[in-house]
Amino acid sequence: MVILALSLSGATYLMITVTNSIAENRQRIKATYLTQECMELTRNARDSAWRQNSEWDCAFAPMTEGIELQISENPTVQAANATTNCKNDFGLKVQSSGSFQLKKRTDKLVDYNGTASNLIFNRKLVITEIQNNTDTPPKPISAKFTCEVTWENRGQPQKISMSQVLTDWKK
Amino acid sequence: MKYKHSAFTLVELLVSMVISALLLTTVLGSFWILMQTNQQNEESGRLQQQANFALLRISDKIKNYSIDYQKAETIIPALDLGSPQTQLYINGGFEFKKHGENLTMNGQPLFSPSFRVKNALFWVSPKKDPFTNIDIKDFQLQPKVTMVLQVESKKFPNIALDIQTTISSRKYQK
Repeated sequence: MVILALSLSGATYLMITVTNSIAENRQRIKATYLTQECMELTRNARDSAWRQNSEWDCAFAPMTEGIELQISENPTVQAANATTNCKNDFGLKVQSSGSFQLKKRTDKLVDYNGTASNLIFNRKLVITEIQNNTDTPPKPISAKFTCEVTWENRGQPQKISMSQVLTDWKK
Repeated sequence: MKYKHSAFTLVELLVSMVISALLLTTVLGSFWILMQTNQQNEESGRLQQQANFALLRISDKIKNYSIDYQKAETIIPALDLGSPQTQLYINGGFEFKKHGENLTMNGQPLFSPSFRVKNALFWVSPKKDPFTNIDIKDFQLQPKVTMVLQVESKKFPNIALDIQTTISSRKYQK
């Protein structure tokens, strides 16, 4: 009986472990792509500013060290910066407080049709290491953008983070 | 003359047969579970690999070529690329399209037939060509495409992947 119980429980444990591992991998892949999306949106905002002959960082103004761009409850896709005439489609919404919101993402297509629920991923973008030029007043010429995607898997906090440095270019 | 034969009784035989059957069932059951788990694990790996490959192909084309707004406008009369489309046209003759249960690149399936593409959606931004609508500031955005891909295994419907990402074009033009 002991052998029977051991054999059965061993196989069941293995099955549960592998199933959980598959689910965790799936979440991790989704999170990785969401992080990549965040980086691409940041880059796209910088490039769009160039197309409009605006300041390269107009989508992120005010460039405050450590500013966090949080998820948005409002899935607004088109957003314009409040402080300049800079147009972007960054999925950002500038709040009246001057902080930023990043588009909400759930495990369904809520960003674009606004009908799904069951939010599991949170994203935020943090701007750090801002380098200024020697102008008076100094203007940012580069900054480090770090995107973090966090979620919970069976009560355990999970996180994926990516960083990139964007610079004022093609002026 | 009396002979004594030591042997199992019928009850002992039945009990031993029941125990053997139980043992065999458990071992075979465990083996089946292990086989199923292994198959699902392999299927999941294949799905992730193929989804990564498909997204890499699409990303590469979006990054290195420009979006073919002209063709999109020809195909979609009431153009609204801001809403989700099931096809994406890239200059250089690249066409990504959900075809049946697969996602194709120029007619070639990107997933093996063991997978079902439930959704392959593309959001193009800006929704009008920024290089021909140069006077409209609302469209003066660097082109980008947001993609949503939902794929599942036909054999194991619980093996599914739902990915969203966005790629910004690296083709620059004022």
